[in-house]
Amino acid sequence: MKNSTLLLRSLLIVVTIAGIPHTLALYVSSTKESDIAEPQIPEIVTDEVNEGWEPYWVGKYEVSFDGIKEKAHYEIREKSDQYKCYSILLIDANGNSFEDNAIVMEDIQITDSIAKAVYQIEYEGKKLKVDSQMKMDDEGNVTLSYNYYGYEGKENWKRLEQ
Amino acid sequence: MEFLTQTFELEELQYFFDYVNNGSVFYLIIPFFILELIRYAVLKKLNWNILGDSIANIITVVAFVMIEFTLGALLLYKLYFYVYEYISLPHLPLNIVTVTCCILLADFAYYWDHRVMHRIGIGWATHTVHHSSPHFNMSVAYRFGPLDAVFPIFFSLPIVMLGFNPWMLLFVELFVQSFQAILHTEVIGKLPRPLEYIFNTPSHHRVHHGSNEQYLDKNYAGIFIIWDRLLGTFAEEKEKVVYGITEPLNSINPIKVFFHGFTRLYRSIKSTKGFKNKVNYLIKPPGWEPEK
Repeated sequence: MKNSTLLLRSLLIVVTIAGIPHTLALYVSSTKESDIAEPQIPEIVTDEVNEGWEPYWVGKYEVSFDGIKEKAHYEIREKSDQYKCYSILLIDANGNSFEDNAIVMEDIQITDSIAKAVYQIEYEGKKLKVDSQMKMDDEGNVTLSYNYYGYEGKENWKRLEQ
Repeated sequence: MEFLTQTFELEELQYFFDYVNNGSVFYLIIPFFILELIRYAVLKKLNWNILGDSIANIITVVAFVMIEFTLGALLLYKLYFYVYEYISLPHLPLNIVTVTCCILLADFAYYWDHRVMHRIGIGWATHTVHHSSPHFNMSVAYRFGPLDAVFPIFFSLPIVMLGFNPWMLLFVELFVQSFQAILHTEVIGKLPRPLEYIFNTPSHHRVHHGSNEQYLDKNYAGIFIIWDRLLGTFAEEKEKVVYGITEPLNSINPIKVFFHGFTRLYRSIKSTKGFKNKVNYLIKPPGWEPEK
């Protein structure tokens, strides 16, 4: 077989196989973008319902950071009674979104509507671990706060789905 | 669709591949090797040469793993993650589609890595170790040469550049190797035709280990024999396979086994005149000689 045929066939094989997961990732990403354009509006909860409200932490949240235009989507997952939080989507200041799959909280300790966890954040290229505290309101939204050597950080997590 | 795109954690992937890659040594390879030894005994072929050869094989894998770990700890870990971080397409999520495509790509890379090791002198100097056994059993799968861990780097780094997670790629590459291991047997004959058409099988791999003229440099595949069919290196098992290399080693001394490729290459380079000829011994196919 000629070298040029070998090269062409090999390139075709590599481009096809590598192209499949990239195309799928793009498709999933574009689907999520349309989700962002029309975020799910939380159901209007009446006071009657609120009386029997129980905090439920598992699910997806849109995270806003104080003083920063960028946003992220986080997901709290439960497995074997252990709660973990992952960053699943990053949204830049122009609204472009990028799929992500990074763990941000390894072990969330939940007590009703209050939770504590070691929060893994990135600051100026350095990966930091800071103690954080979260409080859930009766609409399922979360306020997170942490203190890192005097710097007080605050984030609002808006629930995307119940 | 959700099934295809559902992401999972790296630890879950590691757990699965650990069971398949490392676990298979205990639940598959060792029991099968014992079965092969029993078969040798029943056929009255069990002798010191087979046992000594198998022990030499195990010793070479220990040396190989030590080299690979040193190389990995000193260089590969940083290199792969540097490439993944700075010279890569957008990172792919860990889902069933990504893992499947990673297996296909890693297997295709294995095909080319394997083909290159057969077709250039420096590659053959290390890979000849694997082929130098005159026997064909599971222990031969673990007969490695000193630089067998180096050549795959050049073929797997481009996969990292395509956005595949380096850890996932490592698990998948070990999976290709584990699949390869179970092909080293004479116990299994030919499998049903559809399987023989798509997958690499013991029959196809026996051909690869043959020193018969028509079997030389054939069937380089890891998991899928379709690469050989597509790239013109496929051969069917027809006549009885004569295992080993065209210039037999005739030794079960593990040190001699492990280094004989390089000592032969060194002797050839030393005895030839001219810088170009010396370099040609490294890059030309095995058996190449300068014009006289």
